[in-house]
Amino acid sequence: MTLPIRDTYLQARRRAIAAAVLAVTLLALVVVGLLSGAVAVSPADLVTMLERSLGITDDPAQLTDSVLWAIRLPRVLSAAVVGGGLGVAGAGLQGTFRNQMADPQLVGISPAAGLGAVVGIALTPAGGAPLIMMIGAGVGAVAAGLAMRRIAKRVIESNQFILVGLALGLAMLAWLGAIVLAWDSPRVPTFTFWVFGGLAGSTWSTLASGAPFVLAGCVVVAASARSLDLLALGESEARHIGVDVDRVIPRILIGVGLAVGGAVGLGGAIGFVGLMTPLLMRRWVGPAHRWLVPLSALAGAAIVVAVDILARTVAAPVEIPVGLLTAILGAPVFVWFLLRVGRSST
Amino acid sequence: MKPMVRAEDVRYRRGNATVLDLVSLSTGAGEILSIVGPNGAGKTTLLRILAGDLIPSTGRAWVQDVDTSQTTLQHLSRMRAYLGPRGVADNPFTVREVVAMGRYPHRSAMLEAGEHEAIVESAMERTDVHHLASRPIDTLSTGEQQRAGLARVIAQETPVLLLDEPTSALDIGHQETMMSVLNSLAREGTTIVTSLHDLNLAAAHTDRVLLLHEGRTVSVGSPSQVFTSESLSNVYRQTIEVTPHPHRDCPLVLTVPEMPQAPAS
Repeated sequence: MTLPIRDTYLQARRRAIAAAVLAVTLLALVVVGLLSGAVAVSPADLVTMLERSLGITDDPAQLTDSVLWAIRLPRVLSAAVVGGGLGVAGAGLQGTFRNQMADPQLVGISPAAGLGAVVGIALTPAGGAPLIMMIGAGVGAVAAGLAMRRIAKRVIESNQFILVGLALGLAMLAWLGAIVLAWDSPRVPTFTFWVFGGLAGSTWSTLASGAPFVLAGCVVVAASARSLDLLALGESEARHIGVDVDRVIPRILIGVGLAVGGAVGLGGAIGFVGLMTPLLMRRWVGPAHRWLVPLSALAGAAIVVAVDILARTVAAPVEIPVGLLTAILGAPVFVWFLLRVGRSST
Repeated sequence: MKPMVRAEDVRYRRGNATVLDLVSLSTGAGEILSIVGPNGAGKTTLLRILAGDLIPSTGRAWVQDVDTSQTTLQHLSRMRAYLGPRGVADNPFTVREVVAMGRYPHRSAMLEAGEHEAIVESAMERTDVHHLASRPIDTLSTGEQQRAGLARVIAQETPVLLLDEPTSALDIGHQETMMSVLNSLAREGTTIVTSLHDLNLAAAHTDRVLLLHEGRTVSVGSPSQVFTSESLSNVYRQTIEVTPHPHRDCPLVLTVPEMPQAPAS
């Protein structure tokens, strides 16, 4: 099944360059992320650790090994997974709702994931296991995505849709806050985590529970790339050319929900990444989702890894929540976008 | 002649309101049928029932021999194309990409490599958007979007075209071009059902007219049968005069000012 239009040479080159640049940037940021932090780690330490883990050298293990292996690597990888998941989720949401302002946080899906995670922990007696939290977050996010689909059918104005999502999101955040603050249990991450995110708690165990959700969600969204393209025509227009929108859209939203659930379970509420990433990538590589979705994954991963490095180092030894930085950096982009849209539509 | 599009005693209710009441129609291959009537007459509802988007409360609609409420979206997508009044919604894809999406129903057809492309290019040429092929849809004017939309449904290559106000955003020159494109498609055998607000376009360029008013059929027939001063004035609540067109073999519809009331003596 191929689109009867082939990419032009220029388009193909542009996309290949973008993919290469993003992949190299992400890799470089992962290395920088491993090297930066309170305990000084040199590139040589990194190489020796790699050699040791591959059995190439017999040098005795050092302190830096455990810092790298037990703390930094799961954290950097979590940042990448969270960013990738949010980037893909944003691309999926913007495509599904034909609304370039759609973002997991703005349309209430991230808050629903947080609420789901907390309810999940509260309902399970032995609660607190990362997997329980991820399942709760996934269920909450999927439910919110499907609910927003019903709401989108009733509202025509795209701004109204965002406002409804924002209001529902704030309500869910309030409920979440009420539970977290009233319960005050060490089993539940702090309210700050649910509002501004944070990757300080990343371990191999949280990563192993959350990453499969994000990965599954990304695969579902990426596999729907063609449908997302056709949905750009409008929902009824897509139906007229044979797209079963009542099956395709819920499927995409389930994918988005799984990705957001995993991302929120791992990193809490990190806003604006799902919004900015697809917006920037669309300008770079165009709107075709078979490129937009995977490149949003790479770019989102790079952004969150980079922001997490800032979060750890800018005010060291104090750590700034990642979501706080993404909001500080992302909100102006959002405002710029709103103003630009406002100008071009008049 | 075997009917290509047919509706029989279609009634459609929305809540307590009856939007369409016992409307029937039938068109043969290569025919252009226009649906006219005031705002709220039920034109769009009728088209959407023919398209299979809406299921009539009672009565049935067929495209070729297929009941539109009883078949799959895939099957419908190869039998009829539908163009809404906005032509094509704002989106960041280029005109060429959007027109190519019209080929989606035929994605598994056994066509030579270049054939899809050739169909897409010729559809763009027919509706005069070829020079805009690489422009994103959301940078076009409404009229250009409407023409790009028509190119998309032409590229869909279906025996039946259902068009809702395809000329609403076009200048008078492109209105004529649009109607002559529809005429040439009809000569090639395509059946076209289109709603139109402009009665003179319907009179000059369509074979038959269905005049709807408040969900009911007022009359159906050739433009000269349907467009009479009396029935149009009634339906549109406006004094309307119908005269022969000076240069075409069709009626010309004119609004005339209300007669001033004779002063009371």
